[in-house]
Amino acid sequence: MLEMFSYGFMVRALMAGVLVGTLLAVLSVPVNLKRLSFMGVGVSHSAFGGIAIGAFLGINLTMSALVFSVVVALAIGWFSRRGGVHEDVSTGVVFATSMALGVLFLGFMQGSGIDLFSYLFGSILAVTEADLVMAGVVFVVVTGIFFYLRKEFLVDCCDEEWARFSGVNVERLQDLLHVMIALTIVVSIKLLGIVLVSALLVIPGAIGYMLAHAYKTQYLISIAVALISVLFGLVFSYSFDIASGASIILTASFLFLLTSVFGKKTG
Amino acid sequence: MTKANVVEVENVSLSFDGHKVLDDVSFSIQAGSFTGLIGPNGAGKTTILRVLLGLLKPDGGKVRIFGHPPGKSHSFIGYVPQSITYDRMFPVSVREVVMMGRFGTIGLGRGPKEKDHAAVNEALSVVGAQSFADKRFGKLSGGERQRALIARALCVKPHLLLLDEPTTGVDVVSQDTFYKMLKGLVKNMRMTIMLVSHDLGVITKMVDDLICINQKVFVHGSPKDVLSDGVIGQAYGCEAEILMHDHSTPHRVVRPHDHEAK
Repeated sequence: MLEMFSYGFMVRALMAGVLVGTLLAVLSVPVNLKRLSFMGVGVSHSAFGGIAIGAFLGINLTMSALVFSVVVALAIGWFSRRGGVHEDVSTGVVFATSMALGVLFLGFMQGSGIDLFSYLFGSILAVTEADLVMAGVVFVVVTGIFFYLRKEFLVDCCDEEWARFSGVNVERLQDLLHVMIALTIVVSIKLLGIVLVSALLVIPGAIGYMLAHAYKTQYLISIAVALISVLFGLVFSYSFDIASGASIILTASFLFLLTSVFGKKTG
Repeated sequence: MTKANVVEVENVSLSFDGHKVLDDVSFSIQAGSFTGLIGPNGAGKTTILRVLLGLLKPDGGKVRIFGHPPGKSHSFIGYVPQSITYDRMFPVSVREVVMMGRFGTIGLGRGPKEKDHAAVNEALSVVGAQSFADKRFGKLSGGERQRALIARALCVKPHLLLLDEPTTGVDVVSQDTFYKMLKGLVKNMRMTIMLVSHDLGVITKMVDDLICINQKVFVHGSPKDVLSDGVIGQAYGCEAEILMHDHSTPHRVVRPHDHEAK
């Protein structure tokens, strides 16, 4: 089994998997506690618009997806506060608009040469060294911010009013969380795919939520679930020649099923 | 010698969507006093507390807490909310919830230090919550949850403690212990306490001062003066129904409404 990791592309896929798996697992805890799973779906699908615009303009696709997704992530909070609607409403609007823009721009250029299937569902062959560097930079930035503001994220998840009372600027913190989610999603797309990446923003944290009694434990369980899913998913992807996004998510889903049946905490 | 005022509220008004909730409200609270804030539902009691906490900005008027504007004084204030919208499954222990009380004083990027853990342990022991300190917060009973939330408010060693209907959902025996504990805090820790309640009977027996509001301040004085004034009836829109706890058996004192008296 180890021989598959003698290939450069598998080593890159594994390294990317460990980086983005850990990031997604950490963020999946506040995503679960603050019920942001639909926002994850919205932001990841909006990357499709960013990639299509990047292809149309002939610029770096990851960079254009990055900028576009960050704008979308901030727009979700802005529209929600401005119009007084729930975030799932603004997410629903922004998500569909971005997808529509993607289809529009791809329609402008027949035969764009983009491997759409890889972008949508992930591929172990797609991760380049530049992608790894980008994932590494985002890993350092996002985990750094998260560690620095760990108390603020905890109190915001647990009791928003208490967060305000303690002097936390809750709106700005939530915007920051949205941006961190957008950055993480974009660097995860090559491996996990636009359609599937958001599942790793939900499942690891959900399993942690079901099993943990203390806050830190939820993170540890979440990271363990993501890393197990990445490792087994990559092995399945290589062995059976299936899209890496699908194999990783299916592994995570299987763990979720097991936890739901056998592991739910009582009380 | 007059004691210093801890809280000063002058001519505060606040409206929500054109509906006046507070109308020219003024009062002050002296250091070391135990004040009850009473009024019917929707009178603006919680709104006043939220203004004092800096969570709501009044449309007009002036508020000072220890001479500071609200929101700049959270290290002096302990706050016990009416209830927190919490998730019973939320994976957080009682100790972790209480530690959140210290977060405003720990500083960005830093984690709790030895003195923070010591303050949490002390607060847990003051409210008698050590035995369930490592339980998940969501598994607590109403009385235990209330004690944990008070410990969260106490762990900054506040000079002023604000409580919003803290006995909601708590059984009578626990309520009794709770009020005794508050009295102890005023006496032993020289804390100033302001308690919002709709339970006139218990509150009038416990506090030094009563403020009765319904959008505006109707009366502010000692419980005896306030109750004999008859003005509570105006604030409530009918004669007050007071549940007395002076005797071994609680009983109701109900003054007849006007239409019933005729």
